[in-house]
Amino acid sequence: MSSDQTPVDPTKPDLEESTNVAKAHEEVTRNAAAVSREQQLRENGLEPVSTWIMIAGFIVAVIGGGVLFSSDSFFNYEQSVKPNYVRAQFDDGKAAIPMALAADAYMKKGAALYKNCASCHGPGGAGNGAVFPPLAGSEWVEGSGVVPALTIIHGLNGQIKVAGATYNGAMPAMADGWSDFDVAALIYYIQNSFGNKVGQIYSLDQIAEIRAISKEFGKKPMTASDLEKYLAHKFEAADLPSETMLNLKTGEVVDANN
Amino acid sequence: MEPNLRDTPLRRFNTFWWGLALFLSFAIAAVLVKNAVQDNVIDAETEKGKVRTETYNKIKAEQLKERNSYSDNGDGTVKVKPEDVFGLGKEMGLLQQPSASSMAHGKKFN
Amino acid sequence: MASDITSQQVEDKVLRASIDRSLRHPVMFFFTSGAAWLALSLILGMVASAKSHSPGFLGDCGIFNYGRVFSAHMATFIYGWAAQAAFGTIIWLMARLSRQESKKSGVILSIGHAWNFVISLGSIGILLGGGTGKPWMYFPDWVWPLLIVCYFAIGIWSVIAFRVRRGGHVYISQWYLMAALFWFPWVFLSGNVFVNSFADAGNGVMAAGINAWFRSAMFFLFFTPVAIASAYYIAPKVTGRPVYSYKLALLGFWALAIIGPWAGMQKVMGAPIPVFLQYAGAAASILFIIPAICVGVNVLRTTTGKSETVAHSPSLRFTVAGIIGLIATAVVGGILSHPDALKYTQFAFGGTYGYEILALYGFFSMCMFGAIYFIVPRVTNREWIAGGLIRSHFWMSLYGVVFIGLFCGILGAFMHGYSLEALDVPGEASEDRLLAYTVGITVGWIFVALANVFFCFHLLMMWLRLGRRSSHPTLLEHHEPTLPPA
Repeated sequence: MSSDQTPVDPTKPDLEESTNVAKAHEEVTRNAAAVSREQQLRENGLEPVSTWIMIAGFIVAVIGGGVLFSSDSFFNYEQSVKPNYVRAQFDDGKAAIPMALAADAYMKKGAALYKNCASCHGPGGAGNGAVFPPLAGSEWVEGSGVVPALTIIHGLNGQIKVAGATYNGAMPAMADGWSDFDVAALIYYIQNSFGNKVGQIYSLDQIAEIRAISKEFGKKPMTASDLEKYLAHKFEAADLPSETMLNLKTGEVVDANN
Repeated sequence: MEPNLRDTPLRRFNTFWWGLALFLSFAIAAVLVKNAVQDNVIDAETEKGKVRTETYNKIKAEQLKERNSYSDNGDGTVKVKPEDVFGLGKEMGLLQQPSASSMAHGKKFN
Repeated sequence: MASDITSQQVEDKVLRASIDRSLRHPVMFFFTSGAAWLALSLILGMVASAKSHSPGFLGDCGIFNYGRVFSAHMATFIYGWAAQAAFGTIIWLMARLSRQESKKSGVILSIGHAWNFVISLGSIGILLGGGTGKPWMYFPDWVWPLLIVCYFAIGIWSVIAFRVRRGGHVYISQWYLMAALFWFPWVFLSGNVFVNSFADAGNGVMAAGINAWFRSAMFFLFFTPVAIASAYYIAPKVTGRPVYSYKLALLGFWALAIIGPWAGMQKVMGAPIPVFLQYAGAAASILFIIPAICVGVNVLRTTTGKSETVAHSPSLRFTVAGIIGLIATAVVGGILSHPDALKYTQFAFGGTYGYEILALYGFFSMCMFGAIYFIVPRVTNREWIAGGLIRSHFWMSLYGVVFIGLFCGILGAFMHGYSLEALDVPGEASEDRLLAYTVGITVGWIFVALANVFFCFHLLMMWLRLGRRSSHPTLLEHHEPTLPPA
């Protein structure tokens, strides 16, 4: 019953002496038609492995092998991190922190944050007539940074006189969940846009001081009289020099020597 | 058809059990290898977890004691443990001894 | 004519017929229930795909959440359709090649029912939220031990059939079938024991790595050999030619055996698992092209010059399409797994799902359809009803899988990957980029589902023994009568 090429085997007797081969075949054809027309599997061909396959296989093996050896360590169960695999922005082979000059960093971030304010105070800081005071040329903005910071953190209630006009304030607290970097950026932005030019570059330590002051007020909204006290506030911590580089993500000072 | 010399009951029996054994051996090997290779390192997370579980169970038991337990009778009434009700009522001076009523009852008691 | 037939040949035919008859019930059961699960899986696949680009589709019902529907889709596809088609093919093919009638058909049939029952419960479990969420191991935890026990009771008989085989020759298909019969419990048990049983005591990262290996190994070491075995049987059988090259077949088999088990862990590249495992996985996925080329060349060369047969015979046409699918799968898999490309494709939609569909449908299912179109007439003693149904099945499947596998699989993988890699752009941008491909996958599935409608209907008719009684096979081309020159 092996798949030999010769179909006739004279040494084998018929199925049974009494069986008619033709009749048996007819029966099979009738009862199992698909089977009866099946061909027999033959002995496998003995073609040699073609050179093209060898070449293709070799190319694949080279690529695969290259990948395998690029791991630099075989059966080394200790090494679970491939050096330099971490995805980072590479700069001369050293991973670089995204950074910018402090003023630029604050302006950029502040501009993005100002979108929260623009709906009321206007995109140009001009305010909205009788309801929302302007930020451009506002004496409250041009004083110490504590004033806008506290306003942003606590909101403002009550009457306030801005640039000659009186406004009945009802500003909500805007800075819930903001980081110190966010606050510094926004007050810097407000103080240096729309024609304002205060120029003081806030350090995070100074913002910490503001937070300490803010704590004394709890959750209360500010009033104009509260804010007046801080218009001339002098910080204990120093401003940042203008050449400082800040980490664009966290707002921290990037050590230039690092 | 020449007799198939390979097809003996013994061979079938053998193949059956050896086959099953081979199938199962992979699971057994996995268990053995894992036990052999695993170092029983004290996992900080698991230890902290144990402390947390202890605390949780303790607090839960205490809370359970405080809780009023009642069961819903399904018809708008609930069954309450007497101490849950009478304790508080007693404190508040709300409870009086039940006394026989002098009014005629409209209902018949079974 | 009758005098040309020898007693030897009649004996062969009688034996073949008796083998087919003995296996009729389990094989038809596996194929028919497999096709039903395929239909269900395709419906779930369409729902999942629609959910991925239109989350409001079918409302807020928990059952239709993407996570559940997608898991159920893949689980039913793999264990409902693919595994059962494989079982049906294995038991029939091994019985035929070993020339052993099956005496355990009843057992196999009952276990087949048990398998279906367990999978039904498992799928309901997934849709009700009990699925594990682990790729290719989506069923709830209690399902896998039941499945492996069912497998023992199905596979062992084929092992026995091989051991008591008649005659000295071992066919190429038998190498692959025996290998698959032992690889399946190894992969299934190792994967499930380590991921589902040891993960709590061990390591979540290990579980992720081994799950990635499991996905690859299930495909490379079970579905691939079964499909290749079927191709190595049907191609020479239907064309009447010998397999092209024995040496090439040998090379292909051992290449698969050596390379296959290593692949898989490149899917977790970057995870804190030993680095060499990840790169070995990537290398093996690329090297899989070698056995694919060997098998592909061998089978296709067996059929060269017989293009008419390929066009006419449904089983051969599907098989050849499947083998081309094998080469496509291997090349696409190699491209997607190269570490430089992994950066983009590792988490991309097409890199995982598109590739899996190309592999499971474009290669495995096409070969299985070829096997089914060959086996069912023999086992039911009826011919397929209409070549038109088969033709529709073929072309719709081909459109669908090429669309999904190549277009969405490769392009989608890289496009999605590029947009995921753009760190300064919000995540929504990558989802927007993906929209075209997910819509594409939905469309592709619709094609495949239509194809499957024809297939299921046809198979059901055959199961109900409503096929044609004829000695002429159902072929795919009409023989146009040649007009005499005017």
